[in-house]
Amino acid sequence: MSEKKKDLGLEILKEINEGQPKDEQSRKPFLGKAGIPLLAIFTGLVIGALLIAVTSQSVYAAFSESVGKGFSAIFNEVGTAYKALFTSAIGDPVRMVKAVGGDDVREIRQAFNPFLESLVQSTPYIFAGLAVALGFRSGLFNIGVEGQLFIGAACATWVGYTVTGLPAWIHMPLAFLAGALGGALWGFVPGLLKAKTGGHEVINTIMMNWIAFRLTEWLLSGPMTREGSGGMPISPLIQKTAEIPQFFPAPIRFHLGFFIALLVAYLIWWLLFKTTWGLNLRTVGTNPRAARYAGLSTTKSIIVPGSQPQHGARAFLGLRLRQHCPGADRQHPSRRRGACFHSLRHPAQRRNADDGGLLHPN
Amino acid sequence: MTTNSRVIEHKRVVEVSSTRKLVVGIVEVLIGLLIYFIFALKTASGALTRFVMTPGGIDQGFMADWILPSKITLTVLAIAALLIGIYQLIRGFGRWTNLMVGICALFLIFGFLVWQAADKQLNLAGMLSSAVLLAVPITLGAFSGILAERSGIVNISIEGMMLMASMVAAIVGSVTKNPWLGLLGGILSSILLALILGVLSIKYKVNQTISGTVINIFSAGLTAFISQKFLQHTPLLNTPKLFPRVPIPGLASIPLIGPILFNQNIFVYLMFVILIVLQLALFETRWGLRLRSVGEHPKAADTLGINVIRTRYMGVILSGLVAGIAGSFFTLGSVGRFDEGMTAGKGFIGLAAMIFGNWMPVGAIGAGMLFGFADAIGSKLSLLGSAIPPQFMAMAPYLITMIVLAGFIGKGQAPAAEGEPYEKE
Repeated sequence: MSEKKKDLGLEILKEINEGQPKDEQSRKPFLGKAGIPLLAIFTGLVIGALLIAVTSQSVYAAFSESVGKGFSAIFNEVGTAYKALFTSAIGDPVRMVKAVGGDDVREIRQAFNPFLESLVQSTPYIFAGLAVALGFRSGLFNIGVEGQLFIGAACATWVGYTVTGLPAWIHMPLAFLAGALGGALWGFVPGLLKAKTGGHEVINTIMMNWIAFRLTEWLLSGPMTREGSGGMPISPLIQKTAEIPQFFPAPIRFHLGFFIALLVAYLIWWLLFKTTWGLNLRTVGTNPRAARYAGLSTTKSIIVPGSQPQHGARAFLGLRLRQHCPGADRQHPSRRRGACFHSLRHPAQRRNADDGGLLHPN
Repeated sequence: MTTNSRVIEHKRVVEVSSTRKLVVGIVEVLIGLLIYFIFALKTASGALTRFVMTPGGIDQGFMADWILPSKITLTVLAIAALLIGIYQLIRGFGRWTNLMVGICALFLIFGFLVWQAADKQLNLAGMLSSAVLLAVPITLGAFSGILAERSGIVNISIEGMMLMASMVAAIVGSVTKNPWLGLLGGILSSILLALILGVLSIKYKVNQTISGTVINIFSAGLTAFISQKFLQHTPLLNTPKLFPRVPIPGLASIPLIGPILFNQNIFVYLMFVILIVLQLALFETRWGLRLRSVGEHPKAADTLGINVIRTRYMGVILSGLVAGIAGSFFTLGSVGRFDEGMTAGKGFIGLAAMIFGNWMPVGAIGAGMLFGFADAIGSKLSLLGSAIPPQFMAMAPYLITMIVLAGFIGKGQAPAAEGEPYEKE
């Protein structure tokens, strides 16, 4: 009985997998599986609009003149904000059409950059989302992806700048592997504690997050700091050979990492749904008791995914460390922290869909 | 339900499994060896450790400095820990096991300080005084957790409530220039979040960990937004007046204890008041019995005519109230302005303190003090010019939390119906 109570991961998994009751689904066929996330995005936009309106100075100024002007000010403010959101995420269609019509190559690149940049930005979300999804499938609520990502990034960066003289086709994957191993190690600890002692993985992974923040802060201001950084926590630049190859010249940063993310997403789907290992893991996730009855090792299945999730969430971010530094100041890590909590939310929102975070609207 | 009150005996059966007995014994022996081989052997034999026993900025309750011969002290500590460990391995301490673990941990910490401060001086009283202050949000967070979990609701959103309360307290405190109104504002905002948690998990029976996490994320996002949009540019909104230090007449002039416990700000006194009220209310009154019965066996409680839903709402709202005080502490009792993410996981550490303290207020305050102390050591040691990087010292509370959760101090007795929504049949 105590086991039933302790297994929060399981409870969450049930919550996510059960989905809508059958009759409710048939009543609203148009909402279906895609409807819930869409509705969520819509609600988010509406609440965002409210916040924009409430916190804008010019809205208050307009309302003090007249009510009509106030409403038009709200409309303006929200419109400007969402237009900026759209054009910087997808791109400005007018500009795109114009650029394609003209023959300024740089202008074409700049016009299409926002969309490609979104793909670049979504890469770490995909990895992080996959990490969370894999944890969910084995009945773990892995809220520690953030810390795993920090450690993975540190490991990948370290391999990225210390190893020299390797060809790119070895060095880059090696850095990837190092990141995955670092993250895996960080995920292994709470996984082990959960399986062996029943320690609450939500609290443990959050504690591991904080330890990871402090550890990377120390690494970047001590052993891994760049010479002449003047006390700023920045790592040295990684070798050219460890960089993920980019497809286009300058402003466009779109790189192979995005396709690696897609590949890993496919691999994880295949592992989960097409292999015995995946079946065992999902069984442990949905019903540990039945799994034990069938002779599966719950311990093993909890630890393995516990350590697996990181799989490479470091990927893109790791190589970005050279420009941005985690723990550089209070600003930066917190922004990144937010990034990861997003990725946490959306597998749940997507009902743990197996594309991990692929459809994240960024 | 009868109206005549009955005396209920509380008996806690403490069983120490043989593996735990072994592990605890080994750890205690290791502590002894560590103190001897790492601390004592590396200390010069003539070194003296000077502990200053009066915190800075205090005008009553002075005490003379405490001077110890470093090496002899460390050797004595090592032998004591070793003896405790050996006795634990051979006979076992039974119900005193946890106490002995605590004593060995104290030896370790004290030994560490003696070692670090050999040939230097360390303001021990100042450290204890700041440890008490640092323990306030953790302990109050633990109390908040106890209130919710004793009624059967897992409140993982204490962190978010604290963060929201600290921001609202800063804004209200700055605008009204009155810390009391700031505190009130903080508490109200936290109660509002608690209500959301209550409605989600009691009425709509959403998984409590998820609804708690949602509140945490919401709080982190909203406070960061408001801080970036307003507080950073408008100092007028982010300069609340701090609650002053209030010495308690008479008590404050007791040497050592006076400055540490009785010459602090209102939050420290509030912590002790809540401790006493909560401990008595939970275990000596009918209200507490009902709250606990709802957390242990809601169906039985319902059969006896206790309103399970209302009791749970009450638990969650009181939990929010206490979390609000804890959050306001950051801006009104300690820092004097709001910074993004300033609660830094204290809410979660509070939950760990709650588990450490076995869901009892008295235990929780002990655990909270331990965490506060671990926090205080870090900041003091960097002043001593210690070779250990401050970041590693800052990890200590998180590491201790994980060790605690791994069940090293034994499995606690969580309320049986915790986390389960109640469905009236």
